Amino acid sequence: MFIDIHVHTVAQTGANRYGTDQTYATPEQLIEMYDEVGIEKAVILPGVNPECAHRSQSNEEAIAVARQYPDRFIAFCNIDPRMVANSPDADLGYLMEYYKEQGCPGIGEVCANLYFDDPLMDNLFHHAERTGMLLDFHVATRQGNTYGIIDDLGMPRFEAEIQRHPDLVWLCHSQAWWSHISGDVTEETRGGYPKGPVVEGGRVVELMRRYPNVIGDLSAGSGYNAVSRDPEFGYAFMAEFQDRLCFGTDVCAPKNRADVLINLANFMKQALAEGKISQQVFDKIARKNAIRLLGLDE
Amino acid sequence: MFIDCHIHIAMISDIGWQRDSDGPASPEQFIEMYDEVGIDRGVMLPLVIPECNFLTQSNEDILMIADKYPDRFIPFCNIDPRLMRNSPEADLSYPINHYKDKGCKGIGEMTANLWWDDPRVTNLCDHAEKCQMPLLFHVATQEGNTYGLIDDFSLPRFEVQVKTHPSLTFLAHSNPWWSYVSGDVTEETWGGYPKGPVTEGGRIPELLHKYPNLNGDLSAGSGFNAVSRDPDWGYAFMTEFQDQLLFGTDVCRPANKDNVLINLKNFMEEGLAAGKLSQEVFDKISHQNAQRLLKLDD
Repeated sequence: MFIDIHVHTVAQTGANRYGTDQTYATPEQLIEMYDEVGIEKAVILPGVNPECAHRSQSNEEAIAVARQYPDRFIAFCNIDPRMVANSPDADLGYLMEYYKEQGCPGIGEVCANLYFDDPLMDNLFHHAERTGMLLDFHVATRQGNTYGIIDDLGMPRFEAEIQRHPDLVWLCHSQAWWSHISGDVTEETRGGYPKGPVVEGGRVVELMRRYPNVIGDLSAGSGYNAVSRDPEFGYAFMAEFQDRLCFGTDVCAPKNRADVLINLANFMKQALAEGKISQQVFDKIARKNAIRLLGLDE
Repeated sequence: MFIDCHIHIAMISDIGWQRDSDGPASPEQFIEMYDEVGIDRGVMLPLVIPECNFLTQSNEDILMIADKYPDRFIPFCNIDPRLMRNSPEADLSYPINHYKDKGCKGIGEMTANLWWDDPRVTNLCDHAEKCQMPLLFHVATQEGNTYGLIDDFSLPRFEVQVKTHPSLTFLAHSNPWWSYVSGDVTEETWGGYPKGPVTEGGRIPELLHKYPNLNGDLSAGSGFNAVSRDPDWGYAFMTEFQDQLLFGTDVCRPANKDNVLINLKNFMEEGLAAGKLSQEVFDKISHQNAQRLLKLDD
């Protein structure tokens, strides 16, 4: 069985996702999809930051879904760094404490298009660290025309924030993070899904070795690509960081049943069947790391 | 009859505007307050933009309240200019038309802390104009540590948007707007509630004269202050711009029943009783302008 560390769902469907004929998947659609592939539980990441959605969602909507299906969903809250007072001194902690009491173990997916070292963002990290909330985030390669927290090639601003917040648990996600698994990533390729053999010296490997609070969220095409582009590297990477990688899908719509719902699950199952990863590694990445990080019962 | 063009409301009110404070009034609390003082309907402005929020609300939350109490509440949607990829080319007509079809009568309160001439704000004005949806906004005097669309002293950037969007209905609100009723506003006073006699040459009379698509939302302490700081001037102003002013409260919490809920209403009723406002002017400002501008009978 799997626990999905990264999914988006809507109880109030709203408009179709722009340019498509589907809304985000409803909880009921997700449960049906999950039952098909053996996903027992999932973390809902509310779409609160304006930069990455055609509609704004409330934390309360995600919490209501988790309360309706407590065996299947865990709600994160999402706190925009500009909330409360649009100030680096804003007391974001009271919101985090409130949502923690409502059962949210983390914050995310943080998609605000601000630099990692923007004082507003640093304030968010400060309060998340202080309140013991996990932080799932998306990385952007530029300011404007995209979403996510912005960094330069090599992720120097992110590393500075890791150092400033040693007790914050970072759940790292997106192309601009996972492309750094390989040492040959460039300005041109870092925002995409680079293919082919992984070259020594990747920043993902370096940062994960250096900082025990850096966790890989393997969801989406980006996480799957990182471990499958060079399968032998991927198996070794999963074995090395078996305690700090989490299975995830990033399912956004019912049509994702043909791709992100199954890609990583199939890759891991095949690796286990072929003896490329051990049962222990499989279990940790599939669910046990999530259980530990989210504070769930076995 | 009174139609309140500006309120904030939430079905979930157990999280405060600040730490240890109360949150927005619920629909039921609003109805009780409205019944006590004689306000018939209120325009709900969703708390969607992060800069002025503690609560992550969705437009869908507001539509649910409108569905439940169609005779008492009128829904606006709120469209963050950064929505859908944070781009000046974003097709914001897509969500605007979706919410228009669902019954929303306008967009706002626009509180994104972006400059009035930011290309994303221009894009929002373009799409709001194209979709024929009024835009209600808050003005900010600075970038950061506040909320609202930013302008320089004397509102030059705002004037460009009014001029270039002649078919967009602007509903102007906030201290840095209403302080301009007087010609003697300064860099130091324009973000506050300047008191005392109104002097000739205020930008508001000038802009209201020049642009028939510009309207004043008289809600909050700022709107009340603008017309009551110099009462005879205020009644004359209401008479002169009787077709471009709307009654409003900006009630944000139950405690506002002692101030913004009643202040402007009492001022208008006193003006009517004393013969300083005609019945025609009173009726237009209290509800007829809202009915016409928001197309409430459509």
